[in-house]
Amino acid sequence: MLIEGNVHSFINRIDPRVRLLIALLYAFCIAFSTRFFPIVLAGPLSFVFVALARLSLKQTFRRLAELNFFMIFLLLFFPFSVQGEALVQWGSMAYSKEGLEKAVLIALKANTIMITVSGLIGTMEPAALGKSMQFFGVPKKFIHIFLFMVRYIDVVGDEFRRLRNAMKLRSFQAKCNLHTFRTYGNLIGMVLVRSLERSERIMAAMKCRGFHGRFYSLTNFHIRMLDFSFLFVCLCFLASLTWLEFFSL
Amino acid sequence: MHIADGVLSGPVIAVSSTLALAGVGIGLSKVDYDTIPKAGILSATFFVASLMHINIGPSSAHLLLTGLLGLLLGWTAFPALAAALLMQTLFFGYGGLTTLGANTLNAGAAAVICHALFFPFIRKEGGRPATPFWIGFWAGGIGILLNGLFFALTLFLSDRDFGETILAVLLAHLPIIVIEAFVTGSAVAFLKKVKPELLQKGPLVS
Repeated sequence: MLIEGNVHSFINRIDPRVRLLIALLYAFCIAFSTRFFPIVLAGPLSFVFVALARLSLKQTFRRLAELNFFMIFLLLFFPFSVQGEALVQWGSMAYSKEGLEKAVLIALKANTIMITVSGLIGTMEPAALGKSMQFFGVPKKFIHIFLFMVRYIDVVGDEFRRLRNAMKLRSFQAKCNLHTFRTYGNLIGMVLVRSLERSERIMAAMKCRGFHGRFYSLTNFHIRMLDFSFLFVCLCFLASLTWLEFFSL
Repeated sequence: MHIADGVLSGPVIAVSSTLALAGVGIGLSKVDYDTIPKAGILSATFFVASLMHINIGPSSAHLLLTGLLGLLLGWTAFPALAAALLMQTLFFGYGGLTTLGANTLNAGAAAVICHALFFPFIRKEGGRPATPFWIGFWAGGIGILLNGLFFALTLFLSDRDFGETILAVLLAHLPIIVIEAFVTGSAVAFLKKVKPELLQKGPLVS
Protein backbone atom coordinates (compact mmCIF):
# COMPACT_ATOMS: atom_id res chain seq x y z
CA MET A 1 0.00 0.00 0.00
CA LEU A 2 2.65 2.50 1.00
CA ILE A 3 5.25 1.49 -1.47
CA GLU A 4 4.47 3.60 -4.43
CA GLY A 5 6.97 4.34 -7.10
CA ASN A 6 9.45 1.69 -8.00
CA VAL A 7 10.83 -0.76 -5.49
CA HIS A 8 13.91 -1.17 -7.66
CA SER A 9 14.58 2.55 -7.93
CA PHE A 10 17.98 4.01 -7.19
CA ILE A 11 16.82 5.45 -3.87
CA ASN A 12 15.69 2.03 -2.68
CA ARG A 13 19.18 0.66 -3.22
CA ILE A 14 20.54 3.18 -0.70
CA ASP A 15 20.76 2.14 2.95
CA PRO A 16 17.59 3.32 4.80
CA ARG A 17 19.68 4.71 7.65
CA VAL A 18 21.57 6.96 5.26
CA ARG A 19 18.30 8.15 3.73
CA LEU A 20 16.76 8.92 7.12
CA LEU A 21 19.87 10.80 8.23
CA ILE A 22 19.99 12.88 5.06
CA ALA A 23 16.26 13.64 5.22
CA LEU A 24 16.60 14.87 8.82
CA LEU A 25 19.68 17.00 8.15
CA TYR A 26 18.13 18.36 5.00
CA ALA A 27 14.88 19.27 6.78
CA PHE A 28 16.67 21.13 9.58
CA CYS A 29 19.05 22.82 7.17
CA ILE A 30 16.26 24.18 4.98
CA ALA A 31 13.76 24.88 7.77
CA PHE A 32 16.07 27.36 9.50
CA SER A 33 17.27 29.04 6.36
CA THR A 34 16.35 32.72 6.13
CA ARG A 35 17.43 33.48 2.59
CA PHE A 36 16.01 32.76 -0.83
CA PHE A 37 19.17 31.69 -2.55
CA PRO A 38 19.77 28.33 -0.77
CA ILE A 39 16.08 27.42 -1.12
CA VAL A 40 16.08 28.24 -4.81
CA LEU A 41 18.99 25.81 -5.20
CA ALA A 42 17.50 23.13 -2.97
CA GLY A 43 14.09 23.23 -4.66
CA PRO A 44 15.21 21.62 -7.95
CA LEU A 45 17.36 19.11 -6.04
CA SER A 46 14.30 17.89 -4.16
CA PHE A 47 12.87 16.84 -7.55
CA VAL A 48 16.08 14.94 -8.22
CA PHE A 49 15.28 12.80 -5.18
CA VAL A 50 11.73 12.30 -6.45
CA ALA A 51 13.10 11.26 -9.84
CA LEU A 52 15.58 8.87 -8.23
CA ALA A 53 12.71 7.30 -6.31
CA ARG A 54 10.73 7.09 -9.58
CA LEU A 55 7.73 8.66 -7.89
CA SER A 56 5.18 10.16 -10.22
CA LEU A 57 4.96 13.94 -10.14
CA LYS A 58 1.19 13.75 -9.85
CA GLN A 59 1.40 11.75 -6.65
CA THR A 60 4.05 14.07 -5.28
CA PHE A 61 1.94 17.14 -5.92
CA ARG A 62 -1.16 15.53 -4.45
CA ARG A 63 0.77 15.02 -1.26
CA LEU A 64 1.43 18.72 -1.02
CA ALA A 65 -2.25 19.68 -1.00
CA GLU A 66 -2.78 19.59 2.76
CA LEU A 67 0.41 21.53 3.39
CA ASN A 68 -0.48 24.27 0.96
CA PHE A 69 -3.91 24.75 2.51
CA PHE A 70 -2.12 26.52 5.38
CA MET A 71 0.24 28.25 2.97
CA ILE A 72 -2.71 29.87 1.17
CA PHE A 73 -3.84 31.36 4.48
CA LEU A 74 -0.29 32.50 5.10
CA LEU A 75 0.03 34.22 1.72
CA LEU A 76 -3.35 35.87 2.15
CA PHE A 77 -3.11 37.14 5.71
CA PHE A 78 0.53 37.23 6.81
CA PRO A 79 1.61 40.25 4.73
CA PHE A 80 -1.09 42.32 6.42
CA SER A 81 0.54 41.77 9.81
CA VAL A 82 4.06 42.65 8.75
CA GLN A 83 5.14 46.27 8.68
CA GLY A 84 6.85 47.43 5.52
CA GLU A 85 6.52 48.87 2.08
CA ALA A 86 2.87 48.55 1.05
CA LEU A 87 2.05 46.70 -2.16
CA VAL A 88 -1.70 47.14 -1.82
CA GLN A 89 -3.27 49.67 0.48
CA TRP A 90 -6.76 48.84 1.66
CA GLY A 91 -8.09 51.35 4.19
CA SER A 92 -5.73 51.22 7.14
CA MET A 93 -4.52 47.73 6.16
CA ALA A 94 -1.43 47.34 4.05
CA TYR A 95 -0.29 44.22 2.21
CA SER A 96 3.43 44.59 2.70
CA LYS A 97 6.22 43.52 0.39
CA GLU A 98 8.36 42.25 3.29
CA GLY A 99 5.49 40.14 4.55
CA LEU A 100 4.86 38.63 1.12
CA GLU A 101 8.56 37.78 0.79
CA LYS A 102 8.54 36.07 4.17
CA ALA A 103 5.36 34.14 3.40
CA VAL A 104 6.68 32.98 0.00
CA LEU A 105 9.94 31.90 1.67
CA ILE A 106 8.06 29.83 4.26
CA ALA A 107 5.88 28.23 1.58
CA LEU A 108 8.93 27.38 -0.55
CA LYS A 109 10.77 25.90 2.44
CA ALA A 110 7.83 23.74 3.49
CA ASN A 111 7.26 22.44 -0.04
CA THR A 112 10.94 21.80 -0.69
CA ILE A 113 11.31 19.77 2.50
CA MET A 114 8.15 17.79 1.88
CA ILE A 115 9.16 16.93 -1.68
CA THR A 116 12.59 15.84 -0.51
CA VAL A 117 11.12 13.69 2.25
CA SER A 118 8.73 12.05 -0.23
CA GLY A 119 11.66 11.25 -2.49
CA LEU A 120 14.01 9.97 0.19
CA ILE A 121 11.60 8.15 2.51
CA GLY A 122 8.23 8.02 0.74
CA THR A 123 9.08 4.74 -0.95
CA MET A 124 10.84 3.17 2.01
CA GLU A 125 9.51 -0.03 3.51
CA PRO A 126 8.05 0.92 6.94
CA ALA A 127 9.82 -2.05 8.53
CA ALA A 128 13.15 -0.71 7.25
CA LEU A 129 12.24 2.67 8.68
CA GLY A 130 11.59 1.05 12.06
CA LYS A 131 14.96 -0.63 11.97
CA SER A 132 16.73 2.58 11.02
CA MET A 133 15.00 4.42 13.86
CA GLN A 134 16.27 1.77 16.23
CA PHE A 135 19.78 2.36 14.90
CA PHE A 136 19.44 6.04 15.82
CA GLY A 137 18.36 5.21 19.36
CA VAL A 138 14.58 5.64 19.19
CA PRO A 139 12.99 3.66 22.09
CA LYS A 140 12.03 0.13 21.15
CA LYS A 141 8.54 0.42 22.59
CA PHE A 142 7.84 3.39 20.33
CA ILE A 143 9.09 1.51 17.28
CA HIS A 144 6.85 -1.41 18.18
CA ILE A 145 3.81 0.87 18.41
CA PHE A 146 4.81 2.41 15.08
CA LEU A 147 5.24 -0.95 13.35
CA PHE A 148 1.97 -2.34 14.71
CA MET A 149 0.24 0.81 13.55
CA VAL A 150 1.72 0.57 10.06
CA ARG A 151 0.84 -3.12 9.84
CA TYR A 152 -2.79 -2.60 10.83
CA ILE A 153 -3.60 0.63 8.99
CA ASP A 154 -4.66 -1.42 5.96
CA VAL A 155 -6.62 -3.93 8.01
CA VAL A 156 -8.47 -1.24 9.96
CA GLY A 157 -8.98 0.69 6.73
CA ASP A 158 -10.66 -2.37 5.20
CA GLU A 159 -12.86 -2.65 8.27
CA PHE A 160 -13.91 0.96 7.75
CA ARG A 161 -14.64 0.40 4.09
CA ARG A 162 -16.68 -2.72 4.83
CA LEU A 163 -18.85 -0.83 7.31
CA ARG A 164 -19.14 2.14 4.96
CA ASN A 165 -20.34 -0.19 2.21
CA ALA A 166 -22.86 -1.72 4.59
CA MET A 167 -24.09 1.78 5.37
CA LYS A 168 -24.33 2.64 1.69
CA LEU A 169 -26.33 -0.52 1.01
CA ARG A 170 -28.81 0.77 3.59
CA SER A 171 -29.03 4.07 1.64
CA PHE A 172 -26.93 6.14 4.01
CA GLN A 173 -25.89 9.43 2.49
CA ALA A 174 -23.27 11.62 4.14
CA LYS A 175 -24.61 15.12 4.58
CA CYS A 176 -23.93 17.89 7.03
CA ASN A 177 -26.55 17.03 9.64
CA LEU A 178 -26.91 15.49 13.08
CA HIS A 179 -27.88 12.11 11.69
CA THR A 180 -24.61 11.92 9.73
CA PHE A 181 -22.51 12.91 12.74
CA ARG A 182 -24.25 10.37 14.95
CA THR A 183 -23.81 7.64 12.36
CA TYR A 184 -20.11 8.49 11.96
CA GLY A 185 -19.72 8.38 15.73
CA ASN A 186 -21.26 4.92 15.81
CA LEU A 187 -19.06 3.87 12.90
CA ILE A 188 -15.90 4.99 14.70
CA GLY A 189 -17.08 3.31 17.89
CA MET A 190 -17.73 0.05 16.04
CA VAL A 191 -14.33 0.09 14.36
CA LEU A 192 -12.69 0.77 17.75
CA VAL A 193 -14.46 -2.18 19.34
CA ARG A 194 -13.55 -4.50 16.48
CA SER A 195 -9.95 -3.28 16.45
CA LEU A 196 -9.57 -3.91 20.17
CA GLU A 197 -11.01 -7.38 19.88
CA ARG A 198 -8.70 -8.02 16.96
CA SER A 199 -5.71 -6.81 18.98
CA GLU A 200 -6.57 -9.29 21.73
CA ARG A 201 -6.62 -12.12 19.19
CA ILE A 202 -3.33 -10.91 17.73
CA MET A 203 -1.68 -10.78 21.14
CA ALA A 204 -2.89 -14.28 21.94
CA ALA A 205 -1.60 -15.58 18.61
CA MET A 206 1.75 -13.89 19.13
CA LYS A 207 2.11 -15.30 22.62
CA CYS A 208 1.35 -18.77 21.25
CA ARG A 209 4.33 -18.28 18.97
CA GLY A 210 6.59 -17.26 21.81
CA PHE A 211 6.62 -13.46 21.47
CA HIS A 212 8.60 -11.86 24.26
CA GLY A 213 8.90 -8.26 23.17
CA ARG A 214 11.29 -8.50 20.26
CA PHE A 215 10.93 -8.48 16.53
CA TYR A 216 13.53 -10.41 14.60
CA SER A 217 14.43 -9.04 11.24
CA LEU A 218 15.85 -11.16 8.46
CA THR A 219 17.36 -8.24 6.58
CA ASN A 220 20.64 -6.83 7.75
CA PHE A 221 21.84 -3.43 6.71
CA HIS A 222 25.31 -3.08 5.28
CA ILE A 223 26.86 0.23 4.45
CA ARG A 224 28.40 -0.08 0.99
CA MET A 225 30.47 2.18 -1.20
CA LEU A 226 27.30 3.41 -2.93
CA ASP A 227 25.82 4.53 0.40
CA PHE A 228 29.01 6.32 1.34
CA SER A 229 29.16 8.14 -1.98
CA PHE A 230 25.51 9.14 -1.77
CA LEU A 231 25.96 10.39 1.80
CA PHE A 232 29.10 12.27 0.81
CA VAL A 233 27.48 14.02 -2.17
CA CYS A 234 24.44 14.99 -0.12
CA LEU A 235 26.52 16.25 2.79
CA CYS A 236 28.63 18.34 0.41
CA PHE A 237 25.48 19.86 -1.02
CA LEU A 238 24.09 20.58 2.45
CA ALA A 239 27.39 22.12 3.51
CA SER A 240 27.36 24.43 0.51
CA LEU A 241 23.75 25.41 1.27
CA THR A 242 24.77 26.28 4.82
CA TRP A 243 27.74 28.21 3.51
CA LEU A 244 25.48 30.19 1.17
CA GLU A 245 23.12 30.85 4.06
CA PHE A 246 25.84 32.53 6.09
CA PHE A 247 28.21 34.03 3.57
CA SER A 248 26.37 34.91 0.39
CA LEU A 249 25.18 38.41 -0.46
CA MET B 1 -4.01 21.67 12.02
CA HIS B 2 -0.58 20.30 11.32
CA ILE B 3 2.30 22.74 11.33
CA ALA B 4 4.60 22.39 8.33
CA ASP B 5 8.38 22.63 8.18
CA GLY B 6 9.94 26.05 8.01
CA VAL B 7 7.16 27.83 9.87
CA LEU B 8 8.35 27.63 13.46
CA SER B 9 11.36 29.38 14.99
CA GLY B 10 14.32 27.50 16.46
CA PRO B 11 13.59 28.09 20.17
CA VAL B 12 9.94 27.03 19.78
CA ILE B 13 11.01 23.84 18.01
CA ALA B 14 13.59 23.09 20.71
CA VAL B 15 11.20 23.64 23.64
CA SER B 16 8.19 21.89 22.10
CA SER B 17 10.27 18.90 20.97
CA THR B 18 11.71 18.51 24.47
CA LEU B 19 8.25 18.64 26.05
CA ALA B 20 6.86 16.23 23.44
CA LEU B 21 9.76 13.86 24.13
CA ALA B 22 8.94 13.96 27.84
CA GLY B 23 5.27 13.26 27.05
CA VAL B 24 6.16 10.32 24.81
CA GLY B 25 8.45 9.03 27.55
CA ILE B 26 5.68 9.14 30.17
CA GLY B 27 3.29 7.52 27.71
CA LEU B 28 5.73 4.71 26.90
CA SER B 29 6.32 4.01 30.59
CA LYS B 30 2.62 3.20 30.86
CA VAL B 31 2.59 0.47 28.22
CA ASP B 32 4.25 -2.92 28.45
CA TYR B 33 4.74 -5.60 25.83
CA ASP B 34 1.26 -6.99 26.47
CA THR B 35 -0.47 -3.73 25.63
CA ILE B 36 1.78 -2.49 22.81
CA PRO B 37 -0.21 -4.26 20.05
CA LYS B 38 -3.35 -2.63 21.43
CA ALA B 39 -1.74 0.80 21.45
CA GLY B 40 -0.52 0.26 17.90
CA ILE B 41 -3.86 -0.89 16.59
CA LEU B 42 -5.66 1.97 18.32
CA SER B 43 -3.19 4.36 16.66
CA ALA B 44 -4.01 2.75 13.32
CA THR B 45 -7.73 3.17 14.01
CA PHE B 46 -7.36 6.84 14.85
CA PHE B 47 -5.12 7.29 11.84
CA VAL B 48 -7.72 5.80 9.51
CA ALA B 49 -10.58 7.68 11.21
CA SER B 50 -8.71 10.94 10.74
CA LEU B 51 -8.65 10.34 6.99
CA MET B 52 -12.46 10.38 6.97
CA HIS B 53 -13.87 13.45 5.29
CA ILE B 54 -17.05 15.23 6.23
CA ASN B 55 -18.71 17.59 3.80
CA ILE B 56 -19.37 21.09 5.03
CA GLY B 57 -21.14 22.99 2.30
CA PRO B 58 -18.88 23.08 -0.73
CA SER B 59 -15.68 22.12 1.08
CA SER B 60 -14.84 19.22 3.33
CA ALA B 61 -12.81 18.73 6.47
CA HIS B 62 -11.27 15.76 8.16
CA LEU B 63 -11.72 14.68 11.75
CA LEU B 64 -8.88 14.77 14.27
CA LEU B 65 -10.51 12.92 17.22
CA THR B 66 -8.06 14.38 19.74
CA GLY B 67 -10.70 14.25 22.47
CA LEU B 68 -11.67 10.60 21.93
CA LEU B 69 -8.02 9.57 21.72
CA GLY B 70 -7.25 11.32 25.01
CA LEU B 71 -10.32 9.92 26.72
CA LEU B 72 -9.36 6.35 25.82
CA LEU B 73 -5.57 6.43 26.00
CA GLY B 74 -4.52 9.11 28.52
CA TRP B 75 -0.76 9.62 28.46
CA THR B 76 -0.34 6.83 25.91
CA ALA B 77 -1.93 9.27 23.46
CA PHE B 78 1.52 10.88 23.18
CA PRO B 79 3.37 7.93 21.60
CA ALA B 80 0.25 6.98 19.63
CA LEU B 81 0.04 10.49 18.17
CA ALA B 82 3.78 10.68 17.57
CA ALA B 83 3.64 7.42 15.61
CA ALA B 84 0.64 8.58 13.56
CA LEU B 85 2.16 11.99 12.88
CA LEU B 86 5.47 10.45 11.84
CA MET B 87 3.58 8.24 9.43
CA GLN B 88 1.61 11.20 8.07
CA THR B 89 4.73 13.28 7.58
CA LEU B 90 6.84 10.62 5.92
CA PHE B 91 4.25 8.93 3.74
CA PHE B 92 1.29 11.27 3.35
CA GLY B 93 2.71 14.77 3.31
CA TYR B 94 0.94 16.21 6.38
CA GLY B 95 2.93 18.16 8.96
CA GLY B 96 6.70 18.26 8.97
CA LEU B 97 9.86 16.57 10.18
CA THR B 98 11.25 19.46 12.19
CA THR B 99 7.81 20.24 13.61
CA LEU B 100 7.01 16.65 14.59
CA GLY B 101 7.61 17.49 18.25
CA ALA B 102 5.45 20.60 18.16
CA ASN B 103 2.57 18.80 16.44
CA THR B 104 2.80 15.88 18.88
CA LEU B 105 2.82 18.25 21.83
CA ASN B 106 -0.16 20.28 20.62
CA ALA B 107 -2.38 17.25 20.11
CA GLY B 108 -0.92 15.19 22.98
CA ALA B 109 -1.33 17.90 25.61
CA ALA B 110 -4.94 18.45 24.50
CA ALA B 111 -5.58 14.70 24.69
CA VAL B 112 -4.07 14.36 28.17
CA ILE B 113 -6.03 17.35 29.50
CA CYS B 114 -9.22 15.82 28.08
CA HIS B 115 -8.42 12.56 29.82
CA ALA B 116 -7.85 14.30 33.15
CA LEU B 117 -11.05 16.34 32.83
CA PHE B 118 -13.49 13.76 31.56
CA PHE B 119 -12.29 10.25 32.33
CA PRO B 120 -13.33 10.45 36.04
CA PHE B 121 -16.88 11.37 34.95
CA ILE B 122 -17.24 8.56 32.49
CA ARG B 123 -15.99 6.10 35.06
CA LYS B 124 -18.47 7.14 37.74
CA GLU B 125 -21.37 7.60 35.41
CA GLY B 126 -23.91 4.81 35.28
CA GLY B 127 -27.28 6.49 35.17
CA ARG B 128 -29.18 8.01 32.31
CA PRO B 129 -28.25 6.86 28.79
CA ALA B 130 -27.89 10.41 27.52
CA THR B 131 -24.99 11.31 29.80
CA PRO B 132 -22.17 9.41 28.06
CA PHE B 133 -23.10 11.29 24.94
CA TRP B 134 -22.68 14.65 26.65
CA ILE B 135 -19.40 13.66 28.30
CA GLY B 136 -18.11 12.64 24.90
CA PHE B 137 -19.57 15.77 23.36
CA TRP B 138 -17.62 18.05 25.70
CA ALA B 139 -14.49 15.91 25.53
CA GLY B 140 -14.55 15.99 21.73
CA GLY B 141 -15.25 19.72 21.51
CA ILE B 142 -12.79 20.79 24.19
CA GLY B 143 -10.16 18.37 22.89
CA ILE B 144 -10.06 19.93 19.46
CA LEU B 145 -10.48 23.44 20.86
CA LEU B 146 -7.40 22.97 23.06
CA ASN B 147 -5.58 21.42 20.11
CA GLY B 148 -6.36 24.56 18.12
CA LEU B 149 -5.33 26.89 20.94
CA PHE B 150 -1.99 25.12 21.39
CA PHE B 151 -1.50 25.27 17.63
CA ALA B 152 -2.14 29.02 17.78
CA LEU B 153 0.18 29.46 20.75
CA THR B 154 3.09 27.63 19.08
CA LEU B 155 2.74 29.75 15.95
CA PHE B 156 2.32 32.96 17.90
CA LEU B 157 5.41 32.31 20.04
CA SER B 158 7.40 31.70 16.85
CA ASP B 159 6.45 34.96 15.23
CA ARG B 160 4.04 37.58 16.55
CA ASP B 161 3.17 38.48 12.96
CA PHE B 162 1.32 35.17 12.56
CA GLY B 163 -1.57 36.63 14.62
CA GLU B 164 -4.03 37.32 11.81
CA THR B 165 -3.15 34.16 9.90
CA ILE B 166 -3.80 32.07 13.01
CA LEU B 167 -7.14 33.75 13.53
CA ALA B 168 -8.16 32.99 9.95
CA VAL B 169 -7.10 29.33 10.20
CA LEU B 170 -8.92 28.89 13.51
CA LEU B 171 -12.08 30.50 12.14
CA ALA B 172 -11.95 28.11 9.19
CA HIS B 173 -11.79 25.24 11.69
CA LEU B 174 -14.76 26.36 13.81
CA PRO B 175 -17.29 24.03 12.16
CA ILE B 176 -14.97 21.11 12.88
CA ILE B 177 -15.18 21.77 16.61
CA VAL B 178 -18.95 21.32 16.54
CA ILE B 179 -18.82 18.28 14.25
CA GLU B 180 -16.07 16.69 16.30
CA ALA B 181 -18.12 17.22 19.48
CA PHE B 182 -21.16 15.46 18.02
CA VAL B 183 -19.16 12.60 16.50
CA THR B 184 -17.16 12.01 19.69
CA GLY B 185 -20.33 12.20 21.76
CA SER B 186 -22.07 9.49 19.80
CA ALA B 187 -18.91 7.37 19.64
CA VAL B 188 -18.65 7.47 23.45
CA ALA B 189 -22.37 6.71 23.83
CA PHE B 190 -21.90 3.76 21.46
CA LEU B 191 -18.89 2.42 23.37
CA LYS B 192 -20.77 2.77 26.66
CA LYS B 193 -23.58 0.64 25.25
CA VAL B 194 -21.49 -1.94 23.43
CA LYS B 195 -18.31 -2.28 25.46
CA PRO B 196 -18.78 -0.49 28.80
CA GLU B 197 -15.71 -2.07 30.38
CA LEU B 198 -13.60 -0.17 27.85
CA LEU B 199 -14.63 3.13 29.38
CA GLN B 200 -14.42 1.78 32.92
CA LYS B 201 -10.80 0.75 32.86
CA GLY B 202 -9.42 2.23 29.67
CA PRO B 203 -8.49 0.02 26.71
CA LEU B 204 -4.91 -0.64 27.73
CA VAL B 205 -5.73 -2.67 30.82
CA SER B 206 -5.83 -6.32 29.85
